[in-house]
Amino acid sequence: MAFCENSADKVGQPAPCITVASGTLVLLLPAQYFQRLLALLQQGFWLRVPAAGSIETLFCHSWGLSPVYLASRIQTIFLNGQPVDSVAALVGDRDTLALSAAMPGLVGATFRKGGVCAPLRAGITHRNETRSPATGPCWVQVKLFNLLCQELGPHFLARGIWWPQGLVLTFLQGLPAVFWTVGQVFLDGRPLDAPAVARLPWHQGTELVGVTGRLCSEAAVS
Amino acid sequence: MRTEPVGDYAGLGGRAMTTTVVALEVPPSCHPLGAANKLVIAPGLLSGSLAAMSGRLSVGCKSPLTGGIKESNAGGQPAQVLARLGYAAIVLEGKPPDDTLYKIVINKDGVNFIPDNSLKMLGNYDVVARMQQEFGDKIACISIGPAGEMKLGAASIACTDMELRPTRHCGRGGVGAVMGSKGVKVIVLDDSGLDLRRAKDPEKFREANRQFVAGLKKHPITGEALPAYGTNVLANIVNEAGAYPTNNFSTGRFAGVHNISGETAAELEKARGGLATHGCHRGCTIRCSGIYHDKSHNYLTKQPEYETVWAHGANCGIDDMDAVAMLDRLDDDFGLDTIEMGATIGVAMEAGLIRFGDAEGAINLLKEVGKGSYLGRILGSGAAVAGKVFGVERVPVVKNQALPAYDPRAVQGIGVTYATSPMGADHTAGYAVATNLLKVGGDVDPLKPEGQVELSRNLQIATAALDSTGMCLFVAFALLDQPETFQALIDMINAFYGLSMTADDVMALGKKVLKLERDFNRRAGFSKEQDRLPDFFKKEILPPHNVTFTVTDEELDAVFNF
Repeated sequence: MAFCENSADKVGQPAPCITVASGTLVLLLPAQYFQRLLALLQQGFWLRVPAAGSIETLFCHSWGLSPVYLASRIQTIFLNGQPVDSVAALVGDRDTLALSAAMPGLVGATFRKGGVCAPLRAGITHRNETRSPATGPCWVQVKLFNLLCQELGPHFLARGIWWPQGLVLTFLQGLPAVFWTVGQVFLDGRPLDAPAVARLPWHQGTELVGVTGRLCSEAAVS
Repeated sequence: MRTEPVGDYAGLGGRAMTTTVVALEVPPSCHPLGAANKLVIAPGLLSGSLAAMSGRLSVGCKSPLTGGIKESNAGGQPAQVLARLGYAAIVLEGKPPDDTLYKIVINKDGVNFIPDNSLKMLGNYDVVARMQQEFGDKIACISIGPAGEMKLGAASIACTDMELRPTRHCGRGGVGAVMGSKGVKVIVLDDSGLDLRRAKDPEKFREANRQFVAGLKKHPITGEALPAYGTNVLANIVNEAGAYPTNNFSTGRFAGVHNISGETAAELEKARGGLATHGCHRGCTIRCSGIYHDKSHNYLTKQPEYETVWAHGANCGIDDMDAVAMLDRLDDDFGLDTIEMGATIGVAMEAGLIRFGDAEGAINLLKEVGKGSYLGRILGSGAAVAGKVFGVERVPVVKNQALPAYDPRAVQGIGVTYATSPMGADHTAGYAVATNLLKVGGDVDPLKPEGQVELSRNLQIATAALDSTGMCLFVAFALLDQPETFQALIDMINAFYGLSMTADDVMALGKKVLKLERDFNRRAGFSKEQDRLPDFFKKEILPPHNVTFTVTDEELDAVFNF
């Protein structure tokens, strides 16, 4: 399934072409491997949403997260690389939304949404007037940085996300032999082991594969 | 050697002390490596006491890199120990008659100058190890590496951390070269037998410190983000903003950022038995540093800072965290400013000495500096010199000092500070983000783009004020959001000295410091023409936002209107 017909400009970059592969991967990971998975969320993952909407709408309604958390904890938001001052900003098809907790440094304060130092980056600030709302289902790329990886990552992984096959394969192939005695991986309900992972034809694949991930105890397999 | 009462400099600490002494006692036209220059080393107002976050050490002089006044500061143990020894500042002046190298030992019994040519051209790690063998492990050291002895423009002054490693550096402006020109390799500080400095009103001081620490701990930046990931937590968001200078400032995004981000480094540190959360001096409650182990799980260096990871990473197209950590280790050992060296290697890559992304080549170039080869001495003189020697136009410097890790085309207001700071391009010159709370110059409307110049001015004043207390700049975030934490800081200073200062008094000090610095530079021959970014920032568009630096010269000239 491809979504390449629209090449809307994303701040100097073409909108990504999205192709979805068949199959869903389920990962049950002990804590140390789950942490590794969470660290991948900084590189971004894709979500399918029923319709375009504001950051607030997506966050609180589509993804079921708390408005209080959005207001207080998520201090820095980028939409297609542009710092955002209002959660009313519209998110459209194939947009990239990057979320961060409060950041240090002058530049951290500068990127903070609605902060006193916002004028320092006025030239790249997101402005809603340049956006037209999209209709129909959308793909949105989400990046979670720093504390939000830990706090929101488990929520999104439990609900299911989409990742490029190549990224998932690199993660699976980087797991040590001992992992396969304490964690579990299923593809469309069938368990995979290390040799089966090695046979997956996903090398450098950019097609998106559905992934869910959950924390399990080390005794899950044994 | 002489010890003098503090006299008219009473009540000054940190940057206020170093700037005032340099401005009043150093002839602005002197050669920075000559006898007339002075190297002033000063702890903060509350260093040596129980006050949290009070361990910054300021170093000031006329800079051999910029030709103007310089204040550079670092964490580590020396500020605490120097203050406990009872000194408000060390001033190195004059010039030795020959090339004898000295160590200076300061303890409760006094000060000793000891010739020690066996230390010549030793790296900072070896120097400190030698001092530890000789004087025990209760000391703190201020030292220079080979770069300082060679009087290179990128030479730093190292301060030891809690583990007695030379990992905290007064990096900017070539201050290490001035220490080298005085013939001093290392200053050994030993406060054995001495107590903490005591406040005039101990009860009030203790309560204010308690409030101050509570404020830092409850704030999401100082209580969570910095301890968890260190300063390099910024890499991902600055990259996302398209403001992460990559391949010598040719683009604002680095594809390999996730390999060198704070999040990745923290995981690596924990997996290898290092530490992702660690303080650089006793009394630090934020603990934004860490300990980085190599692939064999052996100590390599402290957690590389954001600026270092950027300078040696994205700016050189290198996405190998172990290579960046090795470059950080070599910088610390040779006594070099990581920002200046990263920028210089980026310029060398632009010139074609090695290709962008060549981590091994970058390590070899840095080793040339440590060896003192002709090539190494050129590189160790900084990005401006390297750009001239190798014929590169895109040289990211202001007043000959390399720009830090934020592209001023994407974050134009920071470009205003880079251009106009008396220090040369300096990310910490406009760092004290609590300006609205402090009401410096009145409130700024965040929705007005023209507020950039006004904000830069206010930030520079507030930062000069905070630098003058000798507190770690990272306390600024809790001050920004929590008025009670700011009040606790003022209360601490007042209780310690028996004063009744207000925020206005602190800001007045910041203004005074900046005026002294600007005046020194004017007398040294600087004019508004030096308050400019390099031309390429106005001409070359920066992807992905495709922006140039658009703040006008007239607007830049309006920054210092007080």
